[in-house]
Amino acid sequence: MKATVCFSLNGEKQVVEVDPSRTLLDVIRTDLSLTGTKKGCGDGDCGGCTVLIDGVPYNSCLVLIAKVEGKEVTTIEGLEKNGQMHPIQEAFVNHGAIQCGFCTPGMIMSAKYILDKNPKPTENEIRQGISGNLCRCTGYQKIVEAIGTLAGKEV
Amino acid sequence: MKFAYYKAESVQEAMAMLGEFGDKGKIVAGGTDLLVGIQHGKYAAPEALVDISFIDELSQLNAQNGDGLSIGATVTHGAVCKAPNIFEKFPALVEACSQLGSPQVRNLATVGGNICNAAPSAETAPALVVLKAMARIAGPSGERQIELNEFFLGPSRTDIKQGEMLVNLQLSEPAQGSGNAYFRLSPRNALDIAIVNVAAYVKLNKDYAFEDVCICMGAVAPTPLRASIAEKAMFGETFSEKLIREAGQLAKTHSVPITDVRASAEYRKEMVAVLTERALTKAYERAKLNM
Repeated sequence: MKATVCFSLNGEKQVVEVDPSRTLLDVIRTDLSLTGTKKGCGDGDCGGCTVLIDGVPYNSCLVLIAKVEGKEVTTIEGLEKNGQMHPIQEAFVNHGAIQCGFCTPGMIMSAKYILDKNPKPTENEIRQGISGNLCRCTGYQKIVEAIGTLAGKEV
Repeated sequence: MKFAYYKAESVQEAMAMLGEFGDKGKIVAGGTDLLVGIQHGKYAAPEALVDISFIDELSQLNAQNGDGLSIGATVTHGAVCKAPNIFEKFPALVEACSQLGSPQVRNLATVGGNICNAAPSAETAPALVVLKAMARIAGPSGERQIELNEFFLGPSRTDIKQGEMLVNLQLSEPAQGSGNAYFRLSPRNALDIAIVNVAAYVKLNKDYAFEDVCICMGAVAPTPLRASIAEKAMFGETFSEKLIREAGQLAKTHSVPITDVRASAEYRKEMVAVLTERALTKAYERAKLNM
């Protein structure tokens, strides 16, 4: 069985013809070659595959591809503009909020939502906001600090 | 993971599809439990999934003015947490929804799915039971309603028969002088299920005596379990620390937990007493503010 699914990916229209039992994560990594979004557990536990759908974070490993029909999907690749890192990416680099880097794309997508929703999040709100993203290097403190430095800034 | 996938546009269409596929078809809404279960072989892979998450009617969350709360079958936990005015009257429900999974999971997982999965530890089940939710179920021969307290039959087993589907959950307006609360115990704050969870609803009369008490315990029996002995013991009494401690002990005695990877049965029993005390105390405090 094949299904045709139309959606916007990082601002570009995509029309894919795929088996509808596949997940959004699988399609963006395998068919559309955007491998920034990571597959960690595949069970919705680790948050490595976090993407924004219509601006809201989801585990793309749990989203069947047909569910994004007509939606706007944003992945880590959609954040940089004209070869310039997004301010959240810069903050992560500048504050050493990256160790092995595997959780980083998902963390940054959760950070984007936190700051979009509330430009001045408290430390507690940041910790709650990234509670669905695991960092097995346990570098949480620097991640929280990096997001905190963006409070009140244009992101 | 391989199955045919169909989007239902209406409840009628979903029912027709369910009728056509019989036991080879399965409903999916958020899919957070179903897809993982299929991948890990917990559920036999269905031949067809019927996606009901595109049906407008089922995604409605309505806090009718003074007339309770209607939760469509595909309303997500995130939607309940974000909706204004729900916490004020149904804090137990919001406390439960806000502790399920993670922000990402809450945006996808539905309250209806949490109920239909019927995990003994289901986050929203105790809260919805004490809020006296009615489940509206559509079937080939029309609709029926059932109290949520009667809905759970065992782990992963509910009153929903083949060919039927949950349409919505209806909560009536909490009475004046009532309060409700939900507590859960888990080793992590996010991304883990409860070792024990308890919700309580109390209603006080004008003399501040308990006129209605409902306590529901999760993860200490095959289904969410009403602590009916504790409820009866509190009826007509006024609040005291001693009474609340007794209620906790009665809940503990009533519970029949198992030992598993998350906790021993003994620990669950101790903790269900503690959470019952906390839930009752919080519900009582809220009831006093609502006299």
